[in-house]
Amino acid sequence: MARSTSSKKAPQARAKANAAGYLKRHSSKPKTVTPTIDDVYELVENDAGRRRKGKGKKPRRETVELEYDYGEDGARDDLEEDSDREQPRLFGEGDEIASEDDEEIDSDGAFEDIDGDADGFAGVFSRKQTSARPKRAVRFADVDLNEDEDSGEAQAEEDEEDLNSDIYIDILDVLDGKGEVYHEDEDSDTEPVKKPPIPLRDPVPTPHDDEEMESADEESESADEDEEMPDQDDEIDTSPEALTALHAFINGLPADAPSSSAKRKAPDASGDDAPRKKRALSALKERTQVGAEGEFQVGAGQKLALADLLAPLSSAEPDALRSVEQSLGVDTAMVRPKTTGKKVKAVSGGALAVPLPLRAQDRVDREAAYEATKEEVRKWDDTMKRIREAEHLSFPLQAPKDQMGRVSNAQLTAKFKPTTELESAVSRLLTTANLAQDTDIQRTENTLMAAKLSPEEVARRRNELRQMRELAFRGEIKARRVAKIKSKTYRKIARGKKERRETDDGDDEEGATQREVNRARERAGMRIKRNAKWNRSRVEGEEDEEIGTREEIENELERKERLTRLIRGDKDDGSSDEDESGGEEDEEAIKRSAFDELKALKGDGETTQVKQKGVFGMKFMQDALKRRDTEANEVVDDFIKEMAGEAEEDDGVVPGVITQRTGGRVSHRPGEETESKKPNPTPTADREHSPPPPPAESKRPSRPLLSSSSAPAAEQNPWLVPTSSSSGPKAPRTKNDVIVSKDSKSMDKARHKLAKNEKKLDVVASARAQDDEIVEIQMGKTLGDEDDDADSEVDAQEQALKTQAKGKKADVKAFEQRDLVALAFAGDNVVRDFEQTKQREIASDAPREVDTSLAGWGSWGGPSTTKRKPKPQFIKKIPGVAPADRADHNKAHIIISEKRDKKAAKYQVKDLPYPYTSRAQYERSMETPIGTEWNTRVAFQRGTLPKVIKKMGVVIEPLEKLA
Amino acid sequence: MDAPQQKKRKTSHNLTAESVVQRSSLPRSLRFDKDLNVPAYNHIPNKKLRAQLSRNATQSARAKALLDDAEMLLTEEPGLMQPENDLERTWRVDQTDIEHGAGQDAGRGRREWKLDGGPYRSRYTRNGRHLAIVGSMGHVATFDWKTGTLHSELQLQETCRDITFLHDHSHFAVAQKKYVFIYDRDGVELHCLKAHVEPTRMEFLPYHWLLATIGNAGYLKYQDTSTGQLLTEHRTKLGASSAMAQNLHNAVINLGHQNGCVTLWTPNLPHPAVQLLAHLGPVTSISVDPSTGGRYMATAGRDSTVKVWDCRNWKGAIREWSARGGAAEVEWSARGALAVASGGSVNVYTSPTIQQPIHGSTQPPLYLTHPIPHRPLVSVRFAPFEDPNFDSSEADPFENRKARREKEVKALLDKIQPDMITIDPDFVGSLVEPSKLSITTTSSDGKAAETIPFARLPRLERLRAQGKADEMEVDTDDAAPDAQKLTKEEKERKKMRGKGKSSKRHLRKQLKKVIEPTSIAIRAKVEKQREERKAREKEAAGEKPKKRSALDRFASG
Repeated sequence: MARSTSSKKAPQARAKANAAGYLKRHSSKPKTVTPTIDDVYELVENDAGRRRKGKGKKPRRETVELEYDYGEDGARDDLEEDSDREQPRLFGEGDEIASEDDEEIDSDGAFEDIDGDADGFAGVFSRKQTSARPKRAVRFADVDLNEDEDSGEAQAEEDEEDLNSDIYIDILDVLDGKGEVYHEDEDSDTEPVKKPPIPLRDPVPTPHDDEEMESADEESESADEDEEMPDQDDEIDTSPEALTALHAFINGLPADAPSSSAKRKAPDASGDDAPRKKRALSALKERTQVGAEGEFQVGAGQKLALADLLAPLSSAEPDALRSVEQSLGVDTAMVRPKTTGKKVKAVSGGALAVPLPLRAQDRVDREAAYEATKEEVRKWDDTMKRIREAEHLSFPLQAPKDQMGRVSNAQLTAKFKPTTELESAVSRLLTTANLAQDTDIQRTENTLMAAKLSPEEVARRRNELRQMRELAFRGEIKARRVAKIKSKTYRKIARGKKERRETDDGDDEEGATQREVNRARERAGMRIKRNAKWNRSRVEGEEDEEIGTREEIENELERKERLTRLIRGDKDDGSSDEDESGGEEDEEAIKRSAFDELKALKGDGETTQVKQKGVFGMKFMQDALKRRDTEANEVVDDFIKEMAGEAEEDDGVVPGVITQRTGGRVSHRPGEETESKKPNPTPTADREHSPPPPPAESKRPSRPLLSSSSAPAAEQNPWLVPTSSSSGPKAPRTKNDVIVSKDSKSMDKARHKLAKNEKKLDVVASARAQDDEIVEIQMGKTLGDEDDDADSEVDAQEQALKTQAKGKKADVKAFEQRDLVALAFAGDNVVRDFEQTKQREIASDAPREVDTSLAGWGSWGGPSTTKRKPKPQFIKKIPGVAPADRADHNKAHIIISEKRDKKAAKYQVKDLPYPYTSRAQYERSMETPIGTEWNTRVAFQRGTLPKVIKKMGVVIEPLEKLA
Repeated sequence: MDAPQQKKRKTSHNLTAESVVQRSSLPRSLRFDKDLNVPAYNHIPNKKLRAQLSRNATQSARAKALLDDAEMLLTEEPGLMQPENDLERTWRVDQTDIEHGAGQDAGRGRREWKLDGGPYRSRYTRNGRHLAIVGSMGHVATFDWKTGTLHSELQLQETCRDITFLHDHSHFAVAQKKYVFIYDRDGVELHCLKAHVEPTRMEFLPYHWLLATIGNAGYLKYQDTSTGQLLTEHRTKLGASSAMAQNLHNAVINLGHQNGCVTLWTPNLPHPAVQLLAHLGPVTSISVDPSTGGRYMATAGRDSTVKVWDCRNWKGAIREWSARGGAAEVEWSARGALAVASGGSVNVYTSPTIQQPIHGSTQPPLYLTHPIPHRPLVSVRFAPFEDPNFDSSEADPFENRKARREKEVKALLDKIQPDMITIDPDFVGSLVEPSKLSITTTSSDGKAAETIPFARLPRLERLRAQGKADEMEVDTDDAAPDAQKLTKEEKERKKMRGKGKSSKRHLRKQLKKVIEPTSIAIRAKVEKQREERKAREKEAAGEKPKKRSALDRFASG
């Protein structure tokens, strides 16, 4: 198990194991120097720890292992592993092992399960197999493996330990020079009963695998126990030396070996399907062996207690043992007495094993040391990463001790536990009030707030609901109210008329006295307004009372007005005076109040244009609402018109024209008068002829909209003006915009359109003005086009300049001057000179070739000789700037020098500096100025903040690792 | 390891790491937690470089954000007169109107001194507080023109051609008949610079402490006024010059010559860095626009034209018009207004119209004009720092004596070495451009191109060869030559259609490379429109348009 994992697992695990081993070894150095049998145990313990480390995840059967492994426990395998590592080709046949194995492996089935890592194990197994061969002879220890099986369920775990048995001894044997058993084993290899090489935890175990299966079962059973074991593991480490010693000791018992191997074969070979237990029993029977009873071997049928195994340790390492005992829960007292006796037996064992070669030992030590150091260093990783990546460090990095001890308020409160009576009382109070924790406080406050807010919310919701209801039925309600007002008004008017008709007969004098009486009554009924007390009460009154007072005030005002009218005794009102005799309002007042009410109604409808959500926000609902509203409005309008129209009926209505309103549209059509008109157009007379008109009436007394008579009508009734203007075919109006519906007249439409156009024009004009204000740029315009625009400007300027220089005729002079200048510099050839200069410059900068060959050398002279081309080696090429590469290429008026500024070159960087990988990166790093002139204070400080800051005179202590 | 043990170790880790957290993070006052839109250099494999680059980018973005934030504090904005309606013209506004209309302080700024002694040249100190004047007959005066305190008044009794203050008003130099003389504030003659023979014009480079003069002999001489040494003298070979200006941005001296050339000089080069045929007659005046980083140059010549040039691409005059009254005198203000004094008036033109390229020789729209009944007008200067937001760390009009002294010391410490003057002032610390030198000539004998061994290649080339170069962000300059090499068919084939099509690419490149005033204006306009639209939307939504106040920067934290 341990072997298989450790060899297959990452070297890291091995290294870890090594580290542990190394540490242990070092801790027990003096003992290893003079190894005794006791040491063996101690060291074995070490090794176990090592293995445990190597495996990490599966700490398994600790003490038990020790017990049963006898000769071939984990220590061996470690050793072997080491030697394997060192001499991988020790046996030459490393990987050649055939899949078939001897039945020994069968018997060791328990071996495999531990890892559950079939592949890993497989590899190991096959490899180890080879090394295992030589030591068949030494197999004696295996005997006890099967023996254990009958020892009952209590020792189920122990069965698993045997798995190591066959493989463990190998290397040691080799080291001891006991490879000779090899051939024997080969024989056994040929035996027919084979088992596939490494079926680990085979789900369908073959009969041969019974043992394996069983052990696997047991393992699963014991898994729980195993998991509890890890601590023991620590204690029972074993070291390779100890194991070698142990092995040597085991080898000192030669008689056992062959017999055990022989015996082991028997039950395996039988391979029947008999119940496992039985078989195990028989095996046990066969194997009964009288050996030394103790931690290495147990007598047959004797139950081995854990304490027995621990006994030898007690003398060697009492401390270690104690811890083991503690972890195992074994009674030390029980162990102690036995130990002495056992120990004697153990000591009588044999010689110590040969230690590892020095080099190997050193390497192991080094590796271990490295591991240990690495482990130690890794603890600093987080800190160092932080420090390395920090933008800024201020030393000392750790706050001084006294400050480090300081804790924040939060920490204090978190730790606080009430101790005194008072404290506990307070805390209890707080907890009951849900104020103990910050979060509690928050929650409490939240709930409180919610509680506080709830009435408002409720109110809001109620309002919403009310609004919805209102919206849904607004049209209907409005219509109903309008109808009510209408009927009331009609009724009142009708009653007034009736009364008047009755009382009209009375003579003037009587009427006058009656008036006087009425007036007196009125005055008596009127309250005195100067009364301060009453005023005050009005102010102090409650809201509903206030409403009452307001009504009162209104009534008062009305009454007062009426009174004044009575006093005045107007002629036109004179007629209405009589009306009042019955305590009734005059017709005008009735109408007025009706109109007021209607107006209020209308206003209501208009002001409650709120944005609606949900269903009411949808278009069809909106439309429906609007329609209802319109209908109601129409009724209102009709009524108003009717009322108002009565007065000017005769002026308004064109004779022979029937004005009809159908669903918001007024249609005028020529028709016959159904009713003859009164010749005198006095309102009083009119009123007589206007009974409450039923809607079904074909001819409605309505005022024509656009007739010229509407204007005088408006003049007559100033308070009707707003309604008259809004009367007629009226589309529902929202506050802001005009809705042009099909109801509205074409005229209206046109007007609206006009207004719209105007608005648009306005917008355009303002935009244009804005544009002009800002910049005058037209993208599409070519440069030449600007002249016409600019000309006017320039002309104006010129004009201004001219006026300024008036009398001097400057413009003419200037013109002459310009000509003169042109003449004066005509012959200077400035441009040509400049061009020549440029050509010279270009030529001097251009790359060129110089023929350095000496005249007359290497050539013939004379009249008939032809000029030869200069030899290429004598042509010197002088690098330069090609004319096309020049900065002033194609710019005739300018020469830009291409010569290098040598003095300034020292301020430049010749090559891309190290960390940067592109020019842009570098330039960007240089582009931000850091000086105070270009930065704010904070930016400057941040930009120039040194990476490391240390206070002068403060000792910088090395970092301290805080546990 | 066992689980519990592991856990234990982890906690111990955390404790140690936690203990250094505070001291390994930035001071709280320097943290900046606003979200910056910084490119992630995820394509760079080198973790360290990636961290460095992103840190750089963050820093620059942060600095920019902080600057924007701080600029909000400059609540007063400089401005110009603007016509209220179409009929109004700013140039119809008189100086007296301005005096009445402007604030009292600004109105008091108008001064008039009537002096005899020939045409005068004038010069302000950098902080605009002091004025030095010199008459051609030798009358020299320096004074605080705001308070009217006279520092010194000299009658030199010889022809004086120019005057300039040195680093501040404590010293000034006068170009006299034969040499340049340096006087102190009280008019005591300190130095006679005999190396400068028959000087005509002088310029003082404040950051380099250099006094540059040009004389009738046509020698440009640089005198270091901090060390007193004559730095260099360049023979222009173009005769006498009577026009000289410095580019405040890069400290390059611009000279105007008799043959109509304008030459640009640096102390390093014995030849002009740039030579420009500006006029068909002698150049009378030059000025470089300080508001745009020395990008525009205005020249006036005796051919009675005024031209505005773009100094970055030198594509030709972007504006040219003829000035009435012959030779003009030009001067840019610190805010980018160009004054042209010619004939009997001073005309002022403003950006952006003055910088918009235009064909033909139409005059740019006039901003202001001021008639002066004397001729000729030889010198026109803008008084610096007349607008509300001045940078007192740069030049403080209200500095006291101590501040002046401190500034002097500081300026000496900050003095820039003269050999750092080049046309491109950003060259310091930059990577050397690939050399234009080539050895390919017409007579190539078919030899294979020389291959430079890998070890001698520059690092960038080596990286490219190894495939380690970061090609994600290639300079547009690098890409350009490749584009040129393509044939027409190839271009057609490679032409991208749709989103990234070539015209757009070209436009993008253009936008990136050349920042035209038109494009700036367009961008500003588009920006403004967008803002207006947003404001309108907000208003429609019921929000009131809120003006950001200076206190808002604290609201966001």
